[in-house]
Amino acid sequence: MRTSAETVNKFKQAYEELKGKNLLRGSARLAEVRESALLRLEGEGFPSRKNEDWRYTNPGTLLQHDQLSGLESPRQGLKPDDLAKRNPLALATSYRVVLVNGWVQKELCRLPGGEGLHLYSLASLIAGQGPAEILDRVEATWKAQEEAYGQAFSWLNSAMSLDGCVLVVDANQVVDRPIEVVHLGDGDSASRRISMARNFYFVGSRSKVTIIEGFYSSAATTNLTNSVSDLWLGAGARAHFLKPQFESTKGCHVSVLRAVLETEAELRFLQMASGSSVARQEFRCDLRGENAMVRSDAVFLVEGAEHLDLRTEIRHQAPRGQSHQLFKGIAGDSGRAVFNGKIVIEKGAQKVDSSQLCRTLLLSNSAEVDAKPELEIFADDVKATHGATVGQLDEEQIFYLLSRGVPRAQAETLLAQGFLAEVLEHYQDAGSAIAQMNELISGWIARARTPKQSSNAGAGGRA
Amino acid sequence: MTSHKDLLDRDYKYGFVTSIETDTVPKGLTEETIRAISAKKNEPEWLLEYRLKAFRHWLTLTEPHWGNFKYPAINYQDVCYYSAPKPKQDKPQTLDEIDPELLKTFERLGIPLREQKRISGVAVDAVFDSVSVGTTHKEILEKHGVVFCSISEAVHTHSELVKKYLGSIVPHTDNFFAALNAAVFTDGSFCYIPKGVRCPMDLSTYFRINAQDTGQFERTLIVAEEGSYVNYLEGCTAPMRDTNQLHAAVVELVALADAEIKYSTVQNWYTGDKEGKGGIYNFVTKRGKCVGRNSKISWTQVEAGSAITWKYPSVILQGDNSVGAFYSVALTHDYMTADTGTKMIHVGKNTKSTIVSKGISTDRSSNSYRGLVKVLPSAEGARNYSQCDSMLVGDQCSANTFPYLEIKNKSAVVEHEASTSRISEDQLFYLRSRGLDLEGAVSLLVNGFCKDVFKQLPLEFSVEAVKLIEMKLENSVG
Repeated sequence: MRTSAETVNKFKQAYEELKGKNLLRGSARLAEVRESALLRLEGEGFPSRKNEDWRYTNPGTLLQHDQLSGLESPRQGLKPDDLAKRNPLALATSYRVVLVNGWVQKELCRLPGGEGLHLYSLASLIAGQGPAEILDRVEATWKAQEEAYGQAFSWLNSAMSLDGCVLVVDANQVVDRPIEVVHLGDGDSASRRISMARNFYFVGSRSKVTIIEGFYSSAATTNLTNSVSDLWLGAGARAHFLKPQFESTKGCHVSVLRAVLETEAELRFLQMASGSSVARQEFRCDLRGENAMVRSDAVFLVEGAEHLDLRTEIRHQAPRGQSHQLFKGIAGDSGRAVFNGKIVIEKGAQKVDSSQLCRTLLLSNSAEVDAKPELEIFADDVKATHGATVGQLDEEQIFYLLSRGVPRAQAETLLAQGFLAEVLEHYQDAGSAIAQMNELISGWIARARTPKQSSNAGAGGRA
Repeated sequence: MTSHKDLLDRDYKYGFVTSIETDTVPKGLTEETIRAISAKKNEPEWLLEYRLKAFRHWLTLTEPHWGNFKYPAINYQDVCYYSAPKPKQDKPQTLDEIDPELLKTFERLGIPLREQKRISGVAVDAVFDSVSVGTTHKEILEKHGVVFCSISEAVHTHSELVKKYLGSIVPHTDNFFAALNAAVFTDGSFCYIPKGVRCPMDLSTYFRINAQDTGQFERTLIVAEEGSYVNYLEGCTAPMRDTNQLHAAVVELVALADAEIKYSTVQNWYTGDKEGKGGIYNFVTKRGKCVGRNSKISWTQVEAGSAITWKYPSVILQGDNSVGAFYSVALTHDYMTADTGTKMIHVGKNTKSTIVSKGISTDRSSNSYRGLVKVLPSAEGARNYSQCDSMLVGDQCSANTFPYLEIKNKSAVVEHEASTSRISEDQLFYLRSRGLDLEGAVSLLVNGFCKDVFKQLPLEFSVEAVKLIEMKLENSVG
């Protein structure tokens, strides 16, 4: 395995190449953002497992991707049919932006015609083909968020990302259809590419919107997705944000969603994850304004030898905020699920109400669950609770169903379904995507209960 | 709401320095220091070798800094590693021979060392700085075959046992401070309960830090043979002083099949003054191992002192059906920091562990719970329940929880709960409307908050602990 320094060097060369080919265009401010991100990456390198934030996931496993050529230009020729095949959620009525390996594909997009909702590709904004004030906003957000919350993978993205989706919803809009941002990974096992989309979502004050940021890929794809998204909710805005991640089990995934909530904004954020040999999803949320509310939920399945690391950090920066989290998942075969949820209640953020619960079903002795809920509280008049459980289906509940004539296998399936479906209950008004997700979950349970060949790693070997 | 603020000038009740001559080795840490300590204690060759091995390993380690706090760098060469009360002739044979100043110190602390204190039913192996000065109730214990003496004595009288178990639970390679302790430990307690014996009385050690600039490196080893039972109490106070003092003790518990060890601590060392100056650094490694089937180890702690408390009393649940428990109350005030919790490592089948942690932070202090529950693939049917509650008093303090759950067996059931709250105005109003004064009301509510832990303590300790918490809180609530 390469050392962190060698990896960083490789990326630095790629960066210089892009620069040499004059592909890193844009304002002086953007150039500065890219430079400083690269400098910080050079200075600190990629973390090791000694870094507390990476205790359960080895960043080295994410970095064995060589092909950086894909960064320069998009692959052409993907047809709408291909899209439908790979996107299990493909909605009949939605606004849609499709990105292939991090590049917006205009011909696959379904863009709104009316006022109040604007979708751009980042590349075209940078090239000066969009409103200057929106580019200005993108750059300002990019700089500020990277300075506040940058880490190795987002620095890498900052330095070299050339495209992504930019969404602007004006104030006082009710967007009638969900907005799908579809990230497709395309390629084969021969070329391990990195796709680095950079996305910005701005939801104006008092507007209402549902955003589905999905990550999918064809089965053979060995890509690494390294995506960074920044979300801003203006005062009183309400957003459902769904993030399905169903990529190839041969690929790797790193993504960050960073949200800022102004006064009385409400965000309901649902992660769904399954697939990817190694995946790490980060969610950061700053409740900057008073009375802001965030729900952050997840359903996940790890099977085979998959490794999934879900990390959340919710910062209450203003009084009377609310945050509620419910994470539920299943770990089977020799899969490993990691949950690290941090809640910070800053000084002065009084009357905050915060709760967090992570529950995992463990189906195999070679599977592993690592949970690390964290609370850091600097205000005294708050309510904060967290809980984590790992275990099996409740024998009492199984017995209840058995006593009513339900066969055992069916009883277990029913209970496992109910276990996961509870998470979706908070999203019933997010539209038809939720019904589809519910169906997907049923499929998972059938899958998880069938042991895979790769799962016979012995449990008895350890003393 | 200000009246109670000035009710109590909460100066350290036990803040006095006893002036007696001490026999010390020069400051600094080299192989010579270790040889000198070993020679002064007339130790066997194997122990010196063990110390040197630990020292050489320690030299390769760097001081850990992952705790949720910062402290000025410790100069390990500026610490005096050995200080013993100078014997008048050789070693005192009876209590009457002991330096009266010393006895007075213990009396001020309320330790039942003298015979007239016998009614309390506590045998004391009092450690004054580093050397054990007296032990009571020896005859009764001897009758039951229980060995309870200082570890330096045990090295000579029960050499085989000490050799067998010393470092078996906390090896000298375990961590920076454990390695340091293994190299320079001066004294501590040794306790051995023979097969099938229920120890006839609670055993207690009173630790006391005295001579200026003397780090304390206690070593405690408790071995409970098959089917035995012991209840062990450890209480701590230290005199007031300016420079920070390092305390890096190691406690090892061994429970064989069907044995039970209960270990309780009340820690009230000097916390530093109101500006956060001075105070003890309490960096302790405590670990027990349930070696045999059906064995039980339980840690109960009331942490009310020290500038920084950094310790995680742990249990390795190796024997099938073994049970581990951790009950803790940690109270921090002024600029104190506590980063404490436990580790429960489930290895054997049907092992159970319970964790109950109550943290109270006031003033500008910081209180963290950090704990690990690890279930290995072999731990079929493992069960854990953890509960960590924090209470914040005032808006300058902080409360943190960092639980780690690592589960590798599907039949394990692991539950963790944590909550943070404060004393509610409603509850206070209710109690005050019924005639309780503010202090009474607060103390009642805090006692209720900590009850699950206090009820695990032996009666006298429990009463002491309640008083201690009340006293410490009186100044902070409002």
